Amino acid sequence: MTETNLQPVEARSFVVEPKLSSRVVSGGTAPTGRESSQGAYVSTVADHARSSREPSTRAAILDALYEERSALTRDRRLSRLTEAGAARLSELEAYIDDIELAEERSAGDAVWRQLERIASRVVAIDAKR
Amino acid sequence: MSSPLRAVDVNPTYADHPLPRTHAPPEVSGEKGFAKYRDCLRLEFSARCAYCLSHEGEVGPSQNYGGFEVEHFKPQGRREFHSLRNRYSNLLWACPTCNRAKGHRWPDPEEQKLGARFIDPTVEAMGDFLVINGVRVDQVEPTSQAAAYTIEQINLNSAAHKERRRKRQALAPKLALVEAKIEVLRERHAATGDADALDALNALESELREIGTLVGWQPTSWDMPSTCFCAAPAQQLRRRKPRTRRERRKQNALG
Repeated sequence: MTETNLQPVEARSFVVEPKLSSRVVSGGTAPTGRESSQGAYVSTVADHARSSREPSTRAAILDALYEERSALTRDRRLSRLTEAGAARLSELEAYIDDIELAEERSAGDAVWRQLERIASRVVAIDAKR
Repeated sequence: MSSPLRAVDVNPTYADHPLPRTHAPPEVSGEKGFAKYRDCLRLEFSARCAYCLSHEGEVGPSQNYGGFEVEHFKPQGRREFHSLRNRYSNLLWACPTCNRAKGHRWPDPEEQKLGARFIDPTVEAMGDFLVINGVRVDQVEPTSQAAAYTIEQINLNSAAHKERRRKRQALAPKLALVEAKIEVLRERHAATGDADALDALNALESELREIGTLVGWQPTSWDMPSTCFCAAPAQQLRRRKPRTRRERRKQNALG
């Protein structure tokens, strides 16, 4: 395990999710007790991750998604991946991409904006000459 | 006058040699003892991620080193490697995206039989296994299980990583354009002797240099530490005075 800023309680509460979502794959119910399709449940988790302002919550959800992804990629490597597993894997990867991309876009924008500002200033000076 | 961004490393590439260990900090103990090595690692890896080569400045704000973290190559979360949690040679500097994806993952014996393993950039040349093609990381040898495993488990071709590379590549021509305009204006200044224009251009150059540093394209990083744990004064490394009876007993036992 690597150095993280996770709050232990939050991390524990999300670590169970891969198991819950697997239950949903086999036709079970979401933790709320209502009937739910696999996509709808995981989508709710991913939406929560995206909208959460708490980085540790996002991190805990991503950890859980990565954990499940890792198990499925292992199956794939050992040629044991089922059709349902393959579908689940691509779904997980889409959610991971979605959450991480949102973080990424917000992080690097400051540099981008600074460069745009300088570029327009240079063009303005150029035009004045 | 030469442009400030001429000799910068716009496209980082995987090294064709193992990254040398240039720091030799003293041993530490405790569950989070390894955190003391942070500055050594930042200096040693030039504020770049050991796996994806992103610079701290590309990833996040400077207050928390872009969210970079001390990475345990052999994960401390696994019982067999827990004793290595404070061993410097087991530590790398990694971006949060790579660090999270790798987590405590490690190939099991069944996978190892197939050749699955992580590549340690301080032991092997990453460039022998991985190459950056556009926004993707590809395997140098398509049959290499080590390369495949590392790319897959660290998720080096995730959307976030690709976005980061896309931004980096999009920024390069834009910077070149600004540079070219600065050169033209300099020539005009030389011809007309306009001192105000020269001041403005110098200010722009300085800002450009700042950006180059910010995104890691300059050899010196934004806020790299001037000292690290290796260079810490001796008294800081000395064992602290025991505070409790239990600690006193322990120290007495150790002599």
